[in-house]
Amino acid sequence: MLFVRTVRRSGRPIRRPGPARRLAGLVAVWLAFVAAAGVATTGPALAHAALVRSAPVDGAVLQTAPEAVHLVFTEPVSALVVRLLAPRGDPVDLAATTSEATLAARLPKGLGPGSHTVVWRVISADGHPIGGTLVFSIGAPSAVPEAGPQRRFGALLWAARALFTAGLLLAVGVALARAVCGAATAGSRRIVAAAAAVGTLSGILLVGLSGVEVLGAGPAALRDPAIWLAGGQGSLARAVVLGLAALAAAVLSLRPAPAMGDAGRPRRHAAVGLAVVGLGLAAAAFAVTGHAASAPPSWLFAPLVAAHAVAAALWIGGLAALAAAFGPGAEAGAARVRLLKAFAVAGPVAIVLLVVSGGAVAVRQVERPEALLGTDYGRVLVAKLVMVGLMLALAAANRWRLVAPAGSSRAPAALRVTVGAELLLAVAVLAVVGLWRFTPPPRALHAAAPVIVRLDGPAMAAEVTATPGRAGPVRLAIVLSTPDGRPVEPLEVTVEAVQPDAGLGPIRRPATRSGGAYAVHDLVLPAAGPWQVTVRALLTPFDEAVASGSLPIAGATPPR
Amino acid sequence: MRYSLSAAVAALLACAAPSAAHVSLEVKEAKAGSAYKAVLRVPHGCDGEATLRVRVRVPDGLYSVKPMPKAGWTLETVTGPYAQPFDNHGTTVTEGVREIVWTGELQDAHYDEFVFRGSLARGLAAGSFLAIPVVQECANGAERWIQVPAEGQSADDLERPAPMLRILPASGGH
Repeated sequence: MLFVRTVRRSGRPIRRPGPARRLAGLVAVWLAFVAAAGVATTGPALAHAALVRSAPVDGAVLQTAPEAVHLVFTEPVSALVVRLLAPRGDPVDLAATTSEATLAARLPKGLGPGSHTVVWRVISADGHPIGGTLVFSIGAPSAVPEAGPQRRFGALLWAARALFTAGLLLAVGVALARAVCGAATAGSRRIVAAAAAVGTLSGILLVGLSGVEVLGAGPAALRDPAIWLAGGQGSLARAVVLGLAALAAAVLSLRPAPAMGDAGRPRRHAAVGLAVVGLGLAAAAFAVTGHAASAPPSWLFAPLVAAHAVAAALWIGGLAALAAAFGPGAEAGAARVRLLKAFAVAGPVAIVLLVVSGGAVAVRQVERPEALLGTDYGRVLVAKLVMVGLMLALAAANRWRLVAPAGSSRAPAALRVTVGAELLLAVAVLAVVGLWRFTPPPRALHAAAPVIVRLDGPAMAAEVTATPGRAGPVRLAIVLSTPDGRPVEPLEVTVEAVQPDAGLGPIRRPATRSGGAYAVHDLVLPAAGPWQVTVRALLTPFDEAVASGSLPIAGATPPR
Repeated sequence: MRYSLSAAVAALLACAAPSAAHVSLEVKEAKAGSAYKAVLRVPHGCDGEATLRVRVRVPDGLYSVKPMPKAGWTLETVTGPYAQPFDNHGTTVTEGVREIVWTGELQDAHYDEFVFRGSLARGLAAGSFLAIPVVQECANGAERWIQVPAEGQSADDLERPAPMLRILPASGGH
């Protein structure tokens, strides 16, 4: 009876799709979406536009400031972004014009001495973005500036993330409370609908913004399909897809409205089922992306993060459902009593789960006690813990002072105040937690230390030390040896870096000999992620030995 | 989806015309144990600069190499011992030309061919490839057509592949 319901209306049996069938439809749509995303990300590498030459040439040391940068490609391109990073000051986006295969970007007047980096991204006719960097120095080379994200863009990214998290937790939490307790108020229904709408919009925006970030373009580039293609390729996009499915399940659980009595029982079961599915999908969304879920071992920390999300959704959803049930105009009734009783049980369980899972993740991420106040990540955690502590105090007041005398006439008003305050704090917690997007945990700050990888090839191995191991200017030190450990004496060495998923590169740099090793000083890796690095050593004029492998690069530190 | 479709089409097109702009051999296959006339095609200079020198390294397995002189170009050869002696109709040959150098000038806008002949060893395995590395030297540096595909890689994956000769089964004894 759960699968197909027959409802008699005006004497004629009408088949309406049951919730389970609708759920099946939803799952089918979602699977199709995931499959499409999978297909879109596995396109073969092909011949895109490539940079033929540039003026000034990469690595040039000039006596006077150039007026413009010219890039010549193998085929017509359109410019996504051309950004100048001067030795001092904020990054400047340059206006670029393209005619056929040549891109020209006028440089600001009065460039000072030192090394200037031009980060560029273009789209070729086949819609594939490619990018690279060009370093030129005026007078003499200097330290190369960092290619961090811009502040205003960071605020947008933070807001989208916080809204997505809040919308997701509220929608699935309230949907579950409503389905289980049958809180027959229009308020809780409106909360789910509004939270789902906010979560959906901010989630979609988040995919685009992460594409903007990957390609280093400006927010105006959101109109560009390549941005969405790039944004759709990371773990964040998987999280958003799961989150959207969770929101859909939460919204579907609203209909049919759970009614009491025997006739309503199957409907209520269906609503509870959908709400639980929504909660599970939301938990999965949190577990597939982020610093915390990806902390090794991921078999431990991904489930812990999922449990943390479930607990947070139960707590926040319960609070919001209570706020609706005790809000102005809400009626006292059996549903309200059930809700209070359920929250009295589920609340403490959720809190214990929150504290245990959150504590375990925090210990892993912070590593050292002094990092609590000594790093941005730690300070965000402390702020969060203070606010959670206040929420717990309010929850305790609710439990022992207000819920017990719930029958009394003054209790609902007091309950309304404390629940409202708790909810505000919960929103503040989510807003603060959104800052973690920009603060690598102390665990990952090791990334600022050098990353050392061994690259292998048939005739040569290369030990590459990248300092620092994060996006921005990176110095490479390379030690070459034969596979059995004897030194290699090449005529010249070049290094090539590509990030095919993000359409970045190839960025090529010659290595200079320093002592027994080779060094690259003017390399800029403009984005985080795994960079495919190839070291080419010319052994004779006709023989080349190659070693290649993956170099993991962490995110750039945010601007202060 | 549209992206992956266009990608597939582009990949097909890329396969159809793989080495249009590479230094390549006109005849890309020859029988083991046969004489082979190599015609090297040089389609462009280095990043717009004129080619001033073309250097070819004679690989192991190619013996008795003689380059064809070219009007306007000076021709030099570097001789040296073979890695393995070559049995030329009963005569054992232990050394010969190992490198050919043509020096002259070829504008980037122009095309030219460089010719030599040699004998392929009978012992070369059918189906194997013989890479003939070429260095193109210009005023601004060199283009080295010396890359050899690693296992599981195709020459199309390389940016500067060495010209490759596919070895066919030797014809019956003689």
